[in-house]
Order: sequence, then structure tokens, then C-alpha cells
Amino acid sequence: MNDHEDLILAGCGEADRHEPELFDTHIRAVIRYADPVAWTIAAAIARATETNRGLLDAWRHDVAVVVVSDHGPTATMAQVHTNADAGFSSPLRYAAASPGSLAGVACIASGFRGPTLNFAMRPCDGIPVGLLVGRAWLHRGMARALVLASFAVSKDRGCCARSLLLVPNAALPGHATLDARAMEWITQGAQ
Amino acid sequence: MVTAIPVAVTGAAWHTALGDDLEDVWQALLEGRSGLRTVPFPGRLRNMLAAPATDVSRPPEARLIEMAAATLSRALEAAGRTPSDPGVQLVIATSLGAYLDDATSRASLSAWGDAVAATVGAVTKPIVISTACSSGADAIMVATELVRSGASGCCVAGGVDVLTPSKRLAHTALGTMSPTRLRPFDIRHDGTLLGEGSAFLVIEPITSNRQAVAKLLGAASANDATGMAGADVTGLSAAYALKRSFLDAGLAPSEVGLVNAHGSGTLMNDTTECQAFNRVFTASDRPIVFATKPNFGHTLGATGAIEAIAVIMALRTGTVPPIGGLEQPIPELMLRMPVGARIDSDARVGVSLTLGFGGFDTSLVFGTAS
Repeated sequence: MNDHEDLILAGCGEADRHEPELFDTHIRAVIRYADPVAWTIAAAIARATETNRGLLDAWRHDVAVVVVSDHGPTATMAQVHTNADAGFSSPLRYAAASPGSLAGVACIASGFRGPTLNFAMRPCDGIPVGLLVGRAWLHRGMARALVLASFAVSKDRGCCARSLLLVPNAALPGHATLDARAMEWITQGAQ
Repeated sequence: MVTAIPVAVTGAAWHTALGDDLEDVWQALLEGRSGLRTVPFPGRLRNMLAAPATDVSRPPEARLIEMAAATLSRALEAAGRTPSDPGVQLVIATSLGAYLDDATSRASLSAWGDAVAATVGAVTKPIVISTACSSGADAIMVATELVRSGASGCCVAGGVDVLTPSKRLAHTALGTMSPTRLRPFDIRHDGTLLGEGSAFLVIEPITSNRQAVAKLLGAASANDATGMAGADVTGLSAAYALKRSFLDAGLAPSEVGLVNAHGSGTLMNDTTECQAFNRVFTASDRPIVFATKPNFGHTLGATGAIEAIAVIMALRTGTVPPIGGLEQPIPELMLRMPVGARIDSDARVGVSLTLGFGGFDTSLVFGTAS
């Protein structure tokens, strides 16, 4: 039995690096100080949503985003720390050092204004909670689509961001539903 | 949109620059007292005022963990529970916490949460959230969904954050730190001042046999999708968060009697919130808007949870504390505000709105217990 038959899997995407070419020039300018981890997550989400871009543009104020990562924008955090020790601070790097920027940058890059969360957890622990909350948003009509994303770093794969686009099955009848294999993929193993 | 089931708030605790007793701190708010004081700093800042709730000379991660552990334990004690109850789920949040100033703390974003759980003897793995200044409110929102769904029978949820040198320097560089005083919605508003603290609520099904201090009727969020540090000053996304939370609660805006604004004191914040309130409320709605950051400082990842408790206390006591520093309200905000003194309220429903970097807007709707 599939526990996720209420949700259509409308897209999936993966990225292992910062890929600014996926975004328009004006978006790149707005998020130019984003940490590489945030850029990588935004790239995975861009891939997960690209085949339904027209629909999502119409729904963009009602697209929810949930990101799960135990790995923060550490390069930017370290840079802010170093700067502070020297007695100064870069305002935009400070904003980019926030763990919340992992979801925030993706929302800026895609224009999504739905409910948003950022779980600072390993994907295997946080994805089930993120899906529970996102599913409630979808079923109560608080969002029309849910972008679920995870980021992990492993010795064999290096950096890996993955994303799923989920919609209620009534929205896109006839499509494949979310299944255990997709859930295993998005949780990225035990790390 | 489908209305969700309400949940009960069965316990609450906070730790602030004004103390940690629920009633004493509330009395201090009603008297207009502030925890802001001069906190020495070796470099140049726009303002030396801050609202410490701990000995800031101690390492930030230790302060973060100790504050969270002590506060959530007191919240659970108020609800007649202990952290080691197998049915208790910790949902804890911070913004930048100790990540910037303690290199070891950033290797795993959830490690501080695990340390809190170990400190209090929690049985379940904590859920850890970081959504900038909406962190504490978002923890409460997630806990609400866990309890509504039946995935958890009891959550202790909230936020914690610490004052650190990196944050004081950054808000100086950003220009968001006030060179004078924190004065939300006053024509002289010129920025915020930082604080630290923690706050936690215990959330359970209303059907439980425990006495509620309030009901949590609705919770919702939205994203600005605008900029890394800048808010959507049109107020559109903040209005989405408010409207979604009212729909979640099955309430009309006219039923809301109180709003605890984010009220950080920056021009951008006040513009955004005024626009959002004007989009949501009509002239006939007239809820009372108040703000507590002049008392506690801007406690960043804790602020959403601290302000949730302020709403609950205002509903319980029928009194709204004055907004510190507010003498000449900006004309754009047409709702009622407590200027110079506390005012009485017969509100049965109150809202806490928080706005955060990364565009996180979160709205929590509370009702009286009865």
C-alpha cells in the first residue's frame, strides 16, 4: 500500500553545485551574496519545477517551500565570523549566513510566496516532518503546490541537493503519485 | 480553504531581559519597563544599548542551550509534564543562535538542539527549525500541525537566541540598529536594538484533560520572495500570512481584537506592517496593535515565541501594555495603539505577526481558554 496516494509527484530535480545560469540576470543580482549551499538548493528546485513552470507561475503566490538540511551556509558563516573578529561586517553576507536563507533564496529565485519552512535537521529526520506539515497545507488549501527540498553532504557523493514538486492528486489527475522510492531519494539515506 | 481544529496551550514560560517569571515580566511590560541597557563592546557600534538575558561574557552556545533547556522545562512544568515524558516532542528554533560566533556550532545545525534534548532528558529526537526572526513562531506552527494530525500528543515549542558580537556588528553595518531608541510606529522610528531570550509553549489537543491557558486557533506563513535582507514593503506577503491564519482559524478579521506586531522599529518594518494591516483590516475592525521589542529588544529567533506569550497574557488579563517609546504615532497606521499607558481590552482573539530575513512571515492566532 502506498501511504502517499493523496499526492502527485509532479517533478524532481537534483543539483550538486552552484548553477547561476539557471536563473535570470535580475534574480542573480538579488541573490548574488547567497551561500553556495543556498544556490545549490535553488538549482535543484529550479529543475524540479521546470516542466510545470507555466502552472507554477500562475500559482506562485500559493506555492509552499520546505527545505531540510543539517548543513548550513557554513562558508558564509565563517566569513562573517572572520570579518567580525576584524571588527567589521558585510550586511548582505550577514543575511546570507542565516540558515533560513536556504529556503529564502529558493523563494526569491522562483517567486514562490506560499507557506515556507526551513528545518535545520538531517533529511532523514526532517523530511517526514516537513512532508507532514506540507501535506496539511495542501489539504487545507493553504497552498496549491509543495516544493520539498533536501541538502546533504556525504563522503562518496559530496554536496547533493534534491527536490520534489508535489500537488494534491485532484490537481493533476492521472499522474504518478509520491511513492516510497521518491521518499527514500529525497531523504538521501542516513548520511 | 478548510478551517483547522484548534489546539490547547497548556503551559508557557519565557526568559527575557526583564526576568523569567511569567506574571512578573508581564507586570513589567504593563509598567513600561525596558531591559535595554548599555552592554560594553570593544569596537564601534551604532548603539551600545542591548537587552541581555544572560551573562554575555560566557560562550554563546552554552548560553543558548542553557536558556532553551531551562525555559522549556519550566513551560512543561507549568503544564504538569516533564521533558522526559515519552509523549513529549521538542520543537525548538533559533535564527543564527551561536553559529556565527562559535565555529564548532556550525558543523551541524541541529547539534545544539540535540544538546538541549540531552540536557533535559528528552526521549524523542528534537525537531529543529531556523527561519530567521520567524523561527520561534514557526516552531509553534509546526507543533500545532503535529498535534492536529495526531503525530504528537504533546509538543513543547518555541525559540531561543543569544546576543553576540557578530550580530551587533552586522546590525550596525546594515543600518538596522537604531542610533537612538527603539520606537515602533513612532514618527521618530529609526531602527531596532538587539536582545536575547527564549520562550516556549506547551501545545496539546483540546480534548486532553489538562487546563488550557489559551487556545491556538490558527497558524500560517508566507514568503516575501523579495530580497535577502529586505522585506516586501507592499505588505502583500505579510497580509497573506495574516489572511491564511484567519482562514485556518475560521475567523474574520473583524473578530480579531489584538495584534502583536513584529514592531522592530525600523522604517522598513513599520512600512511593511502598516501596508499589511491596511490590506487585512478595515476601518471598522480596529484591533489594538501593540509591540514589545522596546521592552525586550529584538530577540531574533526567540521573538516570535516571546510575542506569542505576550498575546496570551494580554488576552488573559484584558490589558495591553504601552508601546515603549511611542509618543507620536505614524499616520499611516490607522489602528488603535496603546500610547503612553496600558489600555483595557475585551478581546477574545489575538494575533502575533513576525517577519524575518529570507522573507519569512508568520502569523499565529490565539483565543482565550474559555
